[in-house]
Amino acid sequence: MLFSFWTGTSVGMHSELTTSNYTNILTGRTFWETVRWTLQVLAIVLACSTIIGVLVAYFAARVVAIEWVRTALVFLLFVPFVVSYVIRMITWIPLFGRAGLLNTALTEANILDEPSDLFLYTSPSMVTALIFLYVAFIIGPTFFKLRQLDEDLLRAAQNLGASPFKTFWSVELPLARPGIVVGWIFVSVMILSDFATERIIGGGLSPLLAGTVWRRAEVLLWPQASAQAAVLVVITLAIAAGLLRFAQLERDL
Amino acid sequence: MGESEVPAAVVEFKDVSRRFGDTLALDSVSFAVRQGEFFSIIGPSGSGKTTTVRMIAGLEAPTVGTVKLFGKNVAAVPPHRRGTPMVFQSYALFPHLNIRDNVAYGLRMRGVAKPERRSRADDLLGLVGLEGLGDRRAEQLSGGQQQRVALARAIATEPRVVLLDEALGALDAALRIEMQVELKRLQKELACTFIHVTHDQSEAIAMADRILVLQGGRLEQVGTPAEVFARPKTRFVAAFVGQNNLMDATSTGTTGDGLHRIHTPLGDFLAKESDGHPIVVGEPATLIVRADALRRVTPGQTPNQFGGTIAGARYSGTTVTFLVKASDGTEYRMEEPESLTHNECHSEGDRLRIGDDVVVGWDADHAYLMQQPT
Amino acid sequence: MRSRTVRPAPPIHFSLWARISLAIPVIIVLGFIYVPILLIMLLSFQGPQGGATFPIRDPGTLWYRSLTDLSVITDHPDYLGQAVFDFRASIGNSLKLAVTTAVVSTTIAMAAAQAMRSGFRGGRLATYAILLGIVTPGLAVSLGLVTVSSELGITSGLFTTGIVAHIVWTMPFSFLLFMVLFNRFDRQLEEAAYTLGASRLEAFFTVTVPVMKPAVIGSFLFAFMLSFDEYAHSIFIMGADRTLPLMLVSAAQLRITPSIFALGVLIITVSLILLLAYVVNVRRTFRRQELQGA
Repeated sequence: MLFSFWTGTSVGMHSELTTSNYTNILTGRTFWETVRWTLQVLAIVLACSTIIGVLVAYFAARVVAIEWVRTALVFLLFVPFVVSYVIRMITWIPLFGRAGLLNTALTEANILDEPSDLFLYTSPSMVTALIFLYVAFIIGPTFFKLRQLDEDLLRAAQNLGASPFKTFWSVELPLARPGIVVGWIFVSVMILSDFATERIIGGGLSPLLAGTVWRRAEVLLWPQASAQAAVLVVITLAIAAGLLRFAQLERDL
Repeated sequence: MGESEVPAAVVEFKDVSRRFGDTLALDSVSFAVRQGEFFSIIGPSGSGKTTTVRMIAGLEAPTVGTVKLFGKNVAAVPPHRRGTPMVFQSYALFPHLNIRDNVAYGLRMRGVAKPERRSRADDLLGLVGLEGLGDRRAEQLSGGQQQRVALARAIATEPRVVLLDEALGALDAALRIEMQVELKRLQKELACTFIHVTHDQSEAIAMADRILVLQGGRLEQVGTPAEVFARPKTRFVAAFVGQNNLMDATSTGTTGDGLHRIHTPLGDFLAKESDGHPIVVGEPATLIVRADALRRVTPGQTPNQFGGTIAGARYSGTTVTFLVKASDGTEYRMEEPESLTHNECHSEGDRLRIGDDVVVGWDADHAYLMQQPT
Repeated sequence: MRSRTVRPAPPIHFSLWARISLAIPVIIVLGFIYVPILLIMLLSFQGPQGGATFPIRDPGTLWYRSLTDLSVITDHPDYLGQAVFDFRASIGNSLKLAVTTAVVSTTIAMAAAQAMRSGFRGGRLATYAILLGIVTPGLAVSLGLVTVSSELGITSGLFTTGIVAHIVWTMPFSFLLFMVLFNRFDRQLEEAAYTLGASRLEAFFTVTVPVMKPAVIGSFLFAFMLSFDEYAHSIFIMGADRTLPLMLVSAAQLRITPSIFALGVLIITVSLILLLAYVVNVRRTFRRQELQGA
């Protein structure tokens, strides 16, 4: 358990030892531009995946009435928790790639003149990919919070004349909030750690923070990579801690 | 320890206190439990009764004071060396073991060989009326059956003391009474000391040889059920144990036949004093009238009577408890057998309704005076 | 004797229209997960002449064989001498690492949760420190580890830096699982054991561990799954020992072939089977506990 601390501090330590050599990395425009862009992508992905994730969780928790269907659905939605995102992304290539099924279908239907790179290697495609890669992490905790809720509460709300939407908005959503926030923590951490999506799906044209670190490390620019990784860790922990406070999760832990 | 005339103390508490943070769960409590007796500890929740029994088991340690088991200070003896098996309200049966292995657990810990402990466990299951159920799991049994398993498990190692913490608390009323009888029978058969914690005074009175009443961590009274029920030492015991009515009273003098003339907010009555607790004339005292001693009377039938209004009624099977609101606004409990209310002999007009005016009274023999604690 | 609880009617009734419109996002999300998986499943059975795209010609298990038998590729008439990937060793590496990680992280997590349960000064801080392993980006953990180990003169490898990074990643999940199940654990079971003559150690092994068995199995399976296909906590630090995900990504970057799809299908299948085992295990436990609570 100490290793997570240790690695965190060792990265920091390493960057301090030779600060003068690469303070320019941390003060340079491009680096902070990347940080800003990463946070922007994070915000968009969080917003979209919250809407989708809460809807899906609600469907699984309330609309599905048969127990085994619910179990099966949750099982299917749980898969992203255990299959690493790199492997899931590779599965996308035959569908969205240049020679992929989508392009072939569209060209053959004469909608496109030639295969397009639109489905891969653009910022919108990257954002879409991120949303669907990680939306399960919002669905999961939200679903469990919704299921935990006492169903009599809903009956009571309906009895008092609230429509299903009103019930959702005024009773279920506030009570499911801790679950949603846990999902936000997951998604934020995943996106900030994600260094492959932007390369494989985004085509490396709109680099995110973790990808930048990876590129530096790959070409063995260890000190620079470490300095940036330290910034990455600080941002991630700050966001996670902030969200944790927001959700007041201590009570649940 | 040599043989002595007085039965040896199995458990002895000497000035035991237990502090949890800022709260004092037990406040210098001293008592002794004798060999072979059925000893009940009663009190409301938070009175320290569970803490007391957990201390005997070694699951809690006293902050101050000494706990002795069989005359030896057990401060340094861990729970598993004390030989004081405990039956919990939740039964705490091991979910991963079947009933037989649950019962045999204590023997297993003592290193008894498998075939022997199994046959012994089966014997014990027979003793508690569960023969043939050894292969079942706890979750497949009813609450009452689980209770019996927990009991069989506790007595499997032939302990000299068995602890029961609200052991009957989770059972429904009918089953509880059945188990009370059975527990008592078992305890007599095994000639073993049972120390039993409950919040239900009727349970304690039904089974116990002696009762310890605790309140707010303090010892209120130790005595036989008859003593505690009929001769409570404190106002708390009087209110908690019996369904007693308490009334402030001052003695104004004595009559020839040993009764006190007393003055109360509801009038002047006659009352006797509690055995061995003389009442000083002129000092504030408390008059205790049991709820079942209070009854409807015709005006002038007895000197001890007052008028009031029926403010409420509670039916509980065989009895009805009426709340009689007296002229000073205090409510008194009057318990009548249910038959009296619904008997054919009583005409409709006799039946009490809320709002009816009544005159209630009691025999001087069924009430007594107690000195108020200073 | 087992009685099934009668479930009351669902609290909210939805019109058909509402059901359909609420189903749309579900279908989209499931589509994004399973259509690609289905496609690579199909493509992994591509014949020798077909490439990494449709259509599929002469379907067969050729590419699965290529994972362990390199001659399948090198003997191919189209083979031009490009790099081939020997996945056999990496499958072995991943299995070895995942099993060891699962055992170690389950053991540590149970000890930590047990310690946390009895409560000690700084317990809260220790909990946060453990959970830091989930929150810290895997890339940073790997990078930090490789820096530290190179400074200490430790050679990067499967069972040096690799296992450390994987345990940092999986142990918090195991720990959370133990914490959740310990919360449901009835402490009186242990107390009952003590009063029946079991020492702390005896009670731990004859009561606590057996009752917590679902958590032990769950933790093992979950840690295995997480470790088996973890990529971020594996880059830079495996040294010469390459795990399956590492192989997969480097192969995918070079050239997409149906071999990669076959490998992807294998990994996903293993994960699904373990997940299924886990879900069945957890459900059985909860059902038992529900019955006991009733």
